[in-house]
Amino acid sequence: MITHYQLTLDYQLHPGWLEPYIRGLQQGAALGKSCSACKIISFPPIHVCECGHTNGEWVSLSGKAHIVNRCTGTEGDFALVQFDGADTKTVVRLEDISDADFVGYLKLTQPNQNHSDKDHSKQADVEQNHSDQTLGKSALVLTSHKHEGHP
Amino acid sequence: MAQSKVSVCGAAITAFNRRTDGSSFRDWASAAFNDALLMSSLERGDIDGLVVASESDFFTLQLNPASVLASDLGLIGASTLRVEGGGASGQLAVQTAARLIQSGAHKHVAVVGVDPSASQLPATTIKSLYSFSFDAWTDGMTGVSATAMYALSFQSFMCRVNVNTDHIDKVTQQNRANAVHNPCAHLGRIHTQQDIDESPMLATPYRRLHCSPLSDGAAALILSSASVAPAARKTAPGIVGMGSASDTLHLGARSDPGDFAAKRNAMQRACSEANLKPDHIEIAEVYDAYAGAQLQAIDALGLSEDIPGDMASERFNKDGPLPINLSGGLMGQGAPVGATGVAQVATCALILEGLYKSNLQPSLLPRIALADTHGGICTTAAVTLLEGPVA
Repeated sequence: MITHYQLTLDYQLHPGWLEPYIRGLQQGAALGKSCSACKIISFPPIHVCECGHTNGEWVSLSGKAHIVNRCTGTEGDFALVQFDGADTKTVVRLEDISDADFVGYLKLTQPNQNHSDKDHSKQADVEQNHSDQTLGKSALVLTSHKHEGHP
Repeated sequence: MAQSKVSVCGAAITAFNRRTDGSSFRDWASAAFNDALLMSSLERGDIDGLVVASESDFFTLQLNPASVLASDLGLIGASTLRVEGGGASGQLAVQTAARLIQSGAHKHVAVVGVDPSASQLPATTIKSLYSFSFDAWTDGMTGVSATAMYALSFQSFMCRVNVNTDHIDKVTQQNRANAVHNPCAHLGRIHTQQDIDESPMLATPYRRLHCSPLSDGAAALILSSASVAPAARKTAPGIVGMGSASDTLHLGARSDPGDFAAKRNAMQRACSEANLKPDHIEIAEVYDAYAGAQLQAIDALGLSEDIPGDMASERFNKDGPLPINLSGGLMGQGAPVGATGVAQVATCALILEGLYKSNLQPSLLPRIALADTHGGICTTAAVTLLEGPVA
């Protein structure tokens, strides 16, 4: 006799200290973290820099990235890329980028959200909660198309 | 640092496969533990500690599995704990148990590694769960699979080391061929080049046959302080060096995404503790979740300065001077994740005593063996060195 369990698990990953990074991605913006000591810009942001310092500031990157390595197959198309202005690389999912192309742009995934880092209004809090709930497998996508938010 | 010697008094591995007999992980854990206890010449009541390795509650559907197994194994009263470090869980459990003995707090500790493959879950669910082995907030958010992450890392490795897809094909064929001689193996196979070329491309350059399977199974060790080992086990192999280390979580934040730096550091620490060098290693069980990962491991462990040349000369083959993954490794023997590292150490100990599978046991007993395991994309690494009985 087999005992069956069926679980439905609805997780909500709260962004915590990564909130500016996550919110940026959802607006099609690449926000890196610049270490206040060594000025290394990490994207994705690193909490404690290799130099040992924790302080840093969020800096906007252009959203343009160069493909270093890419893989394709039944598991999907993924790449290790370096965004312009960043000193570290990151893994992204590729969309609409041909094998001959080595450059892409961060995809705009939630074009209707538009609030600034400095906006502490009640509306911003509501939107932040919304962004918490929609953190999912869609944000780190590289596409061949620039959107109007890219510099 | 002078430390008390830890002896491997008992070692056992169940079959690794997909069970269809209605048994559960509790049965496999009990079977492995009972066999290891029998080999150790100890009684159940002698065991004063239990360390359990199990990677994920998603697969066992059991939080706090150590308490369940302590009860099933008849070890009520012993201290119990569970160790988790992704794919390295098993070997980290071995090292935790050995440190408990070295600290003087325990005399005889059982290590039990176990995991079910949860093969009843949809493949897409399993793939999603494993993608959370990486940073769920960044890399994991892309939906990247473990296969794709390893593929990207191996591509970087190929930029530095002169290996190509021919070499991962050869690793695949060698490990699965070794597993043919291991009756407990999940995937003992003789693969032709055509078999490999026709298997589906999952993430370039990895085809399905380049990947290890998920298996059901368990492995167990009985570790003892050498000073109190039973008379019958006074010459049991000993753990002489242990090292573990970590690397940055993000593949892209590493200066060389193809380098398993955590493994390199873990090896240096293990060698330092054992006062050994990589060229002292005579047999190795290394972490081959993917065929290319075995080559990356050989490089990081310092086992070769010319991997293509050593492969061409069959140095790592079954009958070569440094056999690697005689068991078949994860690719051939299989991979119940929590059991993997425990099984690697058990395999090394059995080989050092001349007690391994008859068609795989080297005729000349090796003296020094290495077991290497890692979790994530080598984010957590653990290396253990063992020494055979002195003649």
